[in-house]
Amino acid sequence: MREADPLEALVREWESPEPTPELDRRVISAYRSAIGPPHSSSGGWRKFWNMRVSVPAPALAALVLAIAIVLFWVKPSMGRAVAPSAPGAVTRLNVSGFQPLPNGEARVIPAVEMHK
Amino acid sequence: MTEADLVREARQGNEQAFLAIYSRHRSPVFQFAWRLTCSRAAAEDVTQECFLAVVNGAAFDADRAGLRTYLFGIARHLVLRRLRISEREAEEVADITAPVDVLGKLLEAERSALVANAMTLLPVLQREALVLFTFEELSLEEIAKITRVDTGAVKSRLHRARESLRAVLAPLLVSNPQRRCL
Repeated sequence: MREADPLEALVREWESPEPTPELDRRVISAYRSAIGPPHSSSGGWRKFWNMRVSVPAPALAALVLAIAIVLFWVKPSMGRAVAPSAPGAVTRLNVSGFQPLPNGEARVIPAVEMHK
Repeated sequence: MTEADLVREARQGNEQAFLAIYSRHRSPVFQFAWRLTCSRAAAEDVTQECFLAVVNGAAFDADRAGLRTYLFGIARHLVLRRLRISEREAEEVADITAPVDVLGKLLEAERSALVANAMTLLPVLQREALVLFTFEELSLEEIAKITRVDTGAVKSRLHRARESLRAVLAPLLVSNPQRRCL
């Protein structure tokens, strides 16, 4: 309970100064330094390009090893698919029974007629 | 936006939120620090550190106490840390809290200066209780939270502060010297 008291009235005569504009500038400047540069539209991209990821060395070594193994297994299988069976020209055309027309013209025959 | 929201926003870099907190509490925090340190430079340093502590993640629990109570708690901690340092550094210095001749000074000094002098003679724990109670008009419970003691200790400090002031400022208390408060 606060009651009227001569002592309290006397104590209230102890005036204190007000903070100065210089203090305001100091505090705001310190806040900006603590927080960092203000946010902007390109801030997200800048943050992305400056991003650092910390990876433990064993995890990094395991990742590199895994990638190397995958490359080792994938590359030979892709090579086998296109590897020639013999050196020189290769054709897959079956020319047995091939007879060119006497006049040298080319005729297009539908596949259905061929099977007949 | 609540004060808890403002603190969270300010920590995330929202300068407007920080300015809202700062403009609302700058004077009370500065004046509290000034009344404990009696130094403008020290009070400015404490005020700056206090508001930065809010941003830098000092735990603020809005459910436990208001932002003002929280800020006074930080300011108090910073002031006491400074006073401890200055006490260590000033061990060889002459006793600055020696009693003063109030009656003699009454004739040549202003009334407010005498009050200020009497206030600075108080031990800092009594002075902070009196400042928070008289100038900031905080409740005993709020002062107890800030100073981390129970309300009984706050009452005791206020009582001793008032007794000391009453003795020192007796010549100025011409109306009714009887104690009425606390």
